Amino acid sequence: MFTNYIKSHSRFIVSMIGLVILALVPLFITSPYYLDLFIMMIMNATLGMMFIMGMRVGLINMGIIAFWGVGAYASAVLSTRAGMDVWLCMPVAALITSLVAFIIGAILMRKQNTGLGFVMLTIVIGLLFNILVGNLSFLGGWNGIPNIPPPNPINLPFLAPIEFVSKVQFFYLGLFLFLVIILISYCFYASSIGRAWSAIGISPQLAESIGVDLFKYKLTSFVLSAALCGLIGSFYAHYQAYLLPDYFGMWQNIYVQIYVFLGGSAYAFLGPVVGSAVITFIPEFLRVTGEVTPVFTGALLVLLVLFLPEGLLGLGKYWPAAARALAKISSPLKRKAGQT
Amino acid sequence: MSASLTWQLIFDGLASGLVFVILAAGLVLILSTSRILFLCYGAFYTIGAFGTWYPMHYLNLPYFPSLIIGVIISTVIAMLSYLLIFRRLQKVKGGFIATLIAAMGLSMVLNRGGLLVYGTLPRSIPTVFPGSFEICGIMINIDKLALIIIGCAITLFLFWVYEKTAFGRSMRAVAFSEEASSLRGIYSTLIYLLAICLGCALAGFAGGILAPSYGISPSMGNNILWSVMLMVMLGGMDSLLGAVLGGLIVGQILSFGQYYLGASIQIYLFLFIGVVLYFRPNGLLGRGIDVGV
Repeated sequence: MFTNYIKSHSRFIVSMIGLVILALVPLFITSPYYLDLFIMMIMNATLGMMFIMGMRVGLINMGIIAFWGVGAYASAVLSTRAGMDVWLCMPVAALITSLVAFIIGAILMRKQNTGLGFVMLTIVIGLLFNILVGNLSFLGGWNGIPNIPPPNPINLPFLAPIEFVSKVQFFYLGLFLFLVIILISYCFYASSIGRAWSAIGISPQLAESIGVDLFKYKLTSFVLSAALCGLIGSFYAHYQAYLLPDYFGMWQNIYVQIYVFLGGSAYAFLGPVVGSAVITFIPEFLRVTGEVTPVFTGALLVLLVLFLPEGLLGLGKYWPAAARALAKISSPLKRKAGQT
Repeated sequence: MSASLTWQLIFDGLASGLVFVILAAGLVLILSTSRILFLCYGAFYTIGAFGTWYPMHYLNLPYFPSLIIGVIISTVIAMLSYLLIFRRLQKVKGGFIATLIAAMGLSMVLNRGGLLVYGTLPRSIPTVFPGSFEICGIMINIDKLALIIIGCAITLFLFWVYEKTAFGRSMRAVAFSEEASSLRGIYSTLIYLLAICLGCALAGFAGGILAPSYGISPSMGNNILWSVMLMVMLGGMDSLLGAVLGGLIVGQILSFGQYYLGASIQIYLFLFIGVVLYFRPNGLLGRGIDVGV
């Protein structure tokens, strides 16, 4: 019975183990540089998850970074110009992003123009976002917004207040937001909305014929993914304490695709985590210089699509066959060992 | 504003707009025939420009032979990329997403790898037709006049190919329905290959002929990619006439806007095209391309 439980909840258990391991990371790794890599990994994994959420309903959103940037800039402007409390800034940034996404999505998806036209317009949004930000002097122009305050200290009863001074606190804040985002998206996937999404993903015509409103559900997916991107973008703004338009260039969008497709686009949560972990840490271990890395990453993306379309996690389905082959190879050896 | 200034801006917009028309027409040929969202299109523009610059700089060749070399280089790279990558991906289920992701990866390889090859310095090619003359208060650069003439000639040539020749007919047939056209004996893979080669040759050609008047830099392909995509969206993704219309309109808007508003015209252009697409989702002249996502 216990093994049955493990089998039916294997993904949940694996994610929990992964989260616990991630939560223990600051105990073993004290170097700020590596902690920074871990924070970036968590954030990139979130962006990948949001891309998959759109892909579930057939929306290829190439402008994920733009919504991330909207959240970051909204939070930065609210906290520096208006002096708003940072803890309030994060949900407000998510709300602003969802409002922007609602307007853009309602225009883009009108008359179910969700195929090629949607992809091209989101690419243009992704290409134009840093130009837009760079040309608005209200948002700091090309010089960016400096001195974004960190979150206020959390005052706990009977304990010392938690102040956001080093990367460890930001790491735990990022991990908490990561968990919140996973829970929110899991609730949506498990609800009737999520079932409508997967129905649309399997066949839009069939889903429409049984009464699923395509426009409504596609818009829900688009707005929700943008809002969660805005939330993590707000975290990024307060973590970096400095925003430049160049952080939100087009190449970042391509990296999001790489995180998704390296891990496996069929795995909504685990895939982007695996993908972003590989992309973040492998160049560090190999000590490749920054100029050459994008070329290899691009080539890697092409090779992945060609030869490993299901991603690294998709290799898991070969495991039973591999185990059987291993058993076959090892069994004559065992028998021989027994005879002698 | 005076009348001569208006005519001057219209003339400048026409010169760059006709080159935009060539670029947009190439993208329309690729999109409507093969349904691959060819995001690496901008890189071929850069390759064409640098492919023209290298023979001129190192081999001291005159301009027109080096332009031909640039076009050939971008065509060969396009042919290799189709044969090695896109031909396999088109056939699989969910091929649209696969080709899109592969095109993104390829654009990253070509752009960033190109940066390693060319270096980050901007280059320039000496003007081929120096000099200018004045008619009714308009300064007419002979270089820009040549751009207009070449643009018109190429556009007319494309229409002739697309409407009158057997190759154009097969391209339209494949765009209409691949299965039905293969029943009539059209080898669709060859048509896809030729369409992509023709489109990328046009991109390389546009890069080569714009190089004397606008200069060369490694990021030029990306800077122009979004405006080409906006033109194609505006005109319609499956209409060659739409590409001509979109290129001319965007050329005029950019010419006037950059004079009066500066760089922020790009944002207004995007908003304008968003409004147009709200009323006509398939563009001004398009019928819409259906891709199975």
